[in-house]
Amino acid sequence: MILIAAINIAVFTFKVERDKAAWDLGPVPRKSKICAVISLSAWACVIVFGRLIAYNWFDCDSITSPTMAELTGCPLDPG
Amino acid sequence: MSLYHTAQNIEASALGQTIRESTWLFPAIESTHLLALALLGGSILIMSLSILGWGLKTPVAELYKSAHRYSNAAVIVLLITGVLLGVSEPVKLYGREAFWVKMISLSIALLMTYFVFNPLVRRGASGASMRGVTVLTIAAWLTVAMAGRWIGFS
Repeated sequence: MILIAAINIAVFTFKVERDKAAWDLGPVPRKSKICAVISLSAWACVIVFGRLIAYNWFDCDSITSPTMAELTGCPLDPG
Repeated sequence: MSLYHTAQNIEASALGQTIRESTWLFPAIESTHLLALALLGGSILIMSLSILGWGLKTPVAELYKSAHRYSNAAVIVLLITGVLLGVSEPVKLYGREAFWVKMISLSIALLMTYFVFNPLVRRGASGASMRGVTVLTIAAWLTVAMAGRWIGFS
């Protein structure tokens, strides 16, 4: 996500904002809005996923589906 | 009834139990709390940078017109999600110094923002006293955030 944000701002800096002086005169170009949406989403994901690192989603205790047991290598609790 | 008993009762409540026992509810509420935190920090920071004269040329009264909606919305989301997080583990919080530091600094930060900072910005105040108020308001919010993070470590 940080990589996506970095690529996004690079594209914005080198391609999109070149004609930014003209933005005040007419409607804001669509490509700049796309960059803005990507930027906001990417950084929101950085915050959320960063926080979620702290939780043990793959604790063997909480695994109940056979698929997840297979993926994590946890023994599936028969009880 | 003592405050500790109140905490025990809240912990036993249906809402507290639901959030505590769910795998994803607490992380989801906590993530929302953090997103709102970022929004509050950003909107206050952009006004503060203008007041302090650090790089932003737009007059603060102008910024305030749009930024204060975001900071208000962020404060509302923060309070709602914060209460929900607290309801899920009030007995633990009761015993943590960091929690009480957070609540006291939160009261100070809210009073500073809504009774000093915002009214002064609306009036277009400037000068050394306005810069002082800005630094104090930011310091108060930073204390809230750091004490909040510290609850998790203590």
